Amino acid sequence: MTDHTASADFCRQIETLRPVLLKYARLQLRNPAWAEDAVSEAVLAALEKPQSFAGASQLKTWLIGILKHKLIDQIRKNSRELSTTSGSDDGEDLDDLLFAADGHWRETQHDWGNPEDALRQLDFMKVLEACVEKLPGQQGRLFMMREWLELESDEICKELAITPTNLWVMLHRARLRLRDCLQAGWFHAAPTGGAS
Amino acid sequence: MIKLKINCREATQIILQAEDRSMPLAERLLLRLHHRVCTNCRRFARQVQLMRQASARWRQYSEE
Repeated sequence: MTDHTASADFCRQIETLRPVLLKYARLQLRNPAWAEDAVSEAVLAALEKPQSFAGASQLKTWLIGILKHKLIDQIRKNSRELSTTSGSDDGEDLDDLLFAADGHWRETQHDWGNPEDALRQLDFMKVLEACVEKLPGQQGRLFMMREWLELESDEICKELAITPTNLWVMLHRARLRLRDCLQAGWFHAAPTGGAS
Repeated sequence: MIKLKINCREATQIILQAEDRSMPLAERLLLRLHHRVCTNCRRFARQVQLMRQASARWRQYSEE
């Protein structure tokens, strides 16, 4: 073995992280087969060039970085299918539930308090992840592209051949849904009293 | 005619769109006026801000 092939130990470490990679690949792609492909490609790429892992950063950080590129490749490869699934699985429209006919809130909104308290906690990350997972397919995909892959809106529109308006509508719904889920799963414990 | 008042449904739409595009000045001003009189929308805007911070924290968490 030369320095340029992965050692058995390195392979084993990468294999241990496979389930985590798969979790994020599924969250992003919402398609188990595509997710498997992206993870396999990422693992292969990692094994082929172990020397590019400087060792300075964490192995997981490096692998997630590779995975993100492979996920974008998968999105490109399946873009036709992805752009046509828009809106087919929206679920109910939260706007109509939240607002009365005159455009006012039906209910008092809660004060979520100091974000630092929540953001520091591992449990909050788990609730957030579960809420993202619960987003309907296309909303979840677009939300992940925007917030996890950190793509710009115009890049997303270009990759999926959707209009900006379509993207904003879907992200609007995704964010309202996520808010609803976080409210129920985390912030419900703190009643705010009446609006002042 | 220039619209000077927006309702809560319109305010939340502006708040959410601002996450994914730059907000035109006119909309920013309308929102500011609305926030002055609406506790619910102020709270909603803070919730959206918290969600943005949560996403950033989550990205970090997913890599470490």
